[in-house]
Amino acid sequence: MAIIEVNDLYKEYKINQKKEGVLGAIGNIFYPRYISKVAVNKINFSIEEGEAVGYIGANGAGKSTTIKMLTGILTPTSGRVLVNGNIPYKHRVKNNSIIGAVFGQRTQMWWDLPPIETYKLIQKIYDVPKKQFDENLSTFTELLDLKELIKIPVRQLSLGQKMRCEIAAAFIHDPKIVYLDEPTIGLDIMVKDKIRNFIKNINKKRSVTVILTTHDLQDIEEVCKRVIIIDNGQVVYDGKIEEIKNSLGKYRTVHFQVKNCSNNLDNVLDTQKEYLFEVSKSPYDIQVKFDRQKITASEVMNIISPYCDIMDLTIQEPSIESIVRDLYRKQVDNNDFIKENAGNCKY
Amino acid sequence: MILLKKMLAIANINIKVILVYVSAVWANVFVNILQVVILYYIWMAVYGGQTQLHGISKSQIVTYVIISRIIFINGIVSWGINQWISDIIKDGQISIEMLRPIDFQLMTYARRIGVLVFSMILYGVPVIVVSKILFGISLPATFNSGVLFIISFLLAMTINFLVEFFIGLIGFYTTNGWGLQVFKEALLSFLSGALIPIAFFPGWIRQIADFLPFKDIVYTPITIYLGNTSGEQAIKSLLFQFMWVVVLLLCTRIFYTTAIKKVTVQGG
Amino acid sequence: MLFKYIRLYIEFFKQNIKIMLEYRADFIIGAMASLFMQMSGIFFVWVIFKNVTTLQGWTFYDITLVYGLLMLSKSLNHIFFDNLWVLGPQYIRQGNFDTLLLRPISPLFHLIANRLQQDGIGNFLLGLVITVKSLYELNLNLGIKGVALIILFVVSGGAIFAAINLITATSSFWVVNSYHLIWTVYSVNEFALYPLNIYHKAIGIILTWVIPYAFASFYPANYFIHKGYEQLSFISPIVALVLWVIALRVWRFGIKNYTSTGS
Repeated sequence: MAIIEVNDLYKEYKINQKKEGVLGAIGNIFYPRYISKVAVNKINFSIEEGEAVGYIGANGAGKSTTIKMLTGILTPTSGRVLVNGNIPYKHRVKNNSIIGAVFGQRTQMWWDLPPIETYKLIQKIYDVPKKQFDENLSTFTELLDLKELIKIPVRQLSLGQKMRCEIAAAFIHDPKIVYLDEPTIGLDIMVKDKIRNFIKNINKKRSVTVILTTHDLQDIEEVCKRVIIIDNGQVVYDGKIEEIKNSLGKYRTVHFQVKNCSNNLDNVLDTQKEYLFEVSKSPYDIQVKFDRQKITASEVMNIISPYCDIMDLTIQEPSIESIVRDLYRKQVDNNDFIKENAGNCKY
Repeated sequence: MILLKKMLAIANINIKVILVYVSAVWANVFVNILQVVILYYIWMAVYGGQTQLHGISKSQIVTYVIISRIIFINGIVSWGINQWISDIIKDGQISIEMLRPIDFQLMTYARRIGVLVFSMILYGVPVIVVSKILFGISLPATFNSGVLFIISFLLAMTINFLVEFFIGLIGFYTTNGWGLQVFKEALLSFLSGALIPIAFFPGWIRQIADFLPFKDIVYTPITIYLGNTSGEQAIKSLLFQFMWVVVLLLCTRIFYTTAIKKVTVQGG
Repeated sequence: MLFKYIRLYIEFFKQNIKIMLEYRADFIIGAMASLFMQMSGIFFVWVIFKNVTTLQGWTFYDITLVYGLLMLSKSLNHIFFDNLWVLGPQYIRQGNFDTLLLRPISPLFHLIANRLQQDGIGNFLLGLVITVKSLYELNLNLGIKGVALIILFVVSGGAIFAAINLITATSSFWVVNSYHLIWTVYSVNEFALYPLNIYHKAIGIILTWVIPYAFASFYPANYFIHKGYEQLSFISPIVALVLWVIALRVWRFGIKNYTSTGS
């Protein structure tokens, strides 16, 4: 029996055209004007206990609407969600007592008090036995390096420090399922790493089910084995992360700032067609997309450097948006993906 | 003319701010009418069978309540002007303001007049109209009273502004601007006669109120309007108001210079 | 269940006290400022009574009893239910309401327990002084029964204030800026600072049957000073109860709307 079961889940928003002012407010109650918009269009999936699943999609794809329905914040228009056998929005108390969540920039901690006070309050709210709470607290303190932080008022913490404390707050009551919405947004590499390792660790050791939405592919790659991609309210991919990494996430775009390029460069690039594609070129910069399983970034540089003075370079990882876009194209054309892209080379 | 244009340009900033809050206008008008209604009934109960108390008749007191409310909501409430002054000095923006080709106090005055005009239109006029329908409001006693009232009212608003400026400068030395504003509002609504005509005050409080400039913000203009102060007496009242403008102007200038010195010497 | 909520409220209460201690200076200034504001209101009544001996048959201390009772009820609401004012701007608009919906406890309880408003404490103390002084000057021998009744009336009054605010605050689920609606309805309580019989009958009817703030001051006061409205004195707790039943229905309707629109 899966811990999360989603069947034909459908959500249509009725957007109320709100009017300003006291009269407008009264008008809103008696004569609301609505515009409909489908946010989630009959999706299906199920998640087993202890899985770590990445749930990704572009902005407005229906990601957060799904998460809100899973957590019971939103009621579905039709279809069914079962979380541990409960309907989240109907059995709110029952469902909430087994879940934990981090929602982006919103804090669940008391702004004017140190995190430890929030943890203690959570202990009381969820009836966590004292011994278990103390054990969790000391484990998390060590893993997330919170020793100093939990005694400082939240308002004085930096974004990264706050997020580490926030993550601990989502796990401290031993939830069966934790929803993490953009837990690493805006954080530096060190903090990201700490948070990823923590999630991985807890997921493995305590078999907590983790649902992670993020824009950072690295998060998914490190934490999750499975990924669900949603676009336009529909699931466009549901499967192993390796598979998608191999077919899509293997591309990188390198961006060179150059000077004094020789005319031979064009010919050279032409001969490397197999490895380099989507080349765009102007006298001062060159953009090249490459397959990192076939060629390394330094090899790309070696190809170009004899013909140009490279002033600067940056390497871009593919964004979730571009992956989804590519996936979508792949579905429509049902063609071999690489071929299609290779054919797109323009120079 | 140029000065006027400048004043309007500065005041213009506030129109937008005020217009954003349409629902605030509705709520404000309602709450102020409600205050007028409460005071109306209290005064009716106070007068009972009597037609005159302390030289103010039963029908005059209604007009007094309405006009004093108008002056209160447009003047004494101050619309954050004193807070604005404190903030601008505190965060050091005053040094930029001092670079402008217009005196800071004069500019603030222009800003205040702009706020006054628009709060008058948005909050004052609706309150007058509704009050007029509900209770009736008498016209100035004579034509002369009307003219003198307008002069007295303008002087009153100037005194009110100078008090606000003074409070704003005090705010520079303390941290809690909200507390200061509440304190000022409570004190002024009393000593200006906005709640009760000064004539009703018992002995010693009356002497204090008579001595201070605050009565010239509400009580003096309204008694002129009602015709209870007229002729030579009215001219004398205007002169006293003018004297207070001069005294307060001097005080605020001295205070302002001291505060600014502190900012420029310490660098904020 | 109820026991758990009481226990939890005490926990929330402790946290709020900690915050209060963090901001000691703000606490003192806030309490002083609102105290001063209320004192100018009492001063107004005092000056009025320097000119008359009774107001439609009510003496100075009759009126201060009404005034004091309303202050007590009002400040209970101010201290314990102040978070309702910010439901719109701080919770719904900023998305923090979702956080309340993710806890295994009632979101309304969570919302209310989240804040203790220190500014109301000064008013409560002043209201207490005024009420006790009025009762003393009126030579009323309350006895234990009288004291118990006063407590019952004040608690009912506070509940009436809170229920009315809850109803108007629930509009935050639909309206962008709910503050002014809450404020408009709330401001009607100012009528109840004075005896109802000085006003036009219509105002009395509104304050009794539509926005029943009179049950927080005027009718309870009539139990102690007999001015001919005693028959309604005992209804206060019932009014409070009925209002809360209505308010909770409205609230549930609001939540239902929120979870189906997510805005």
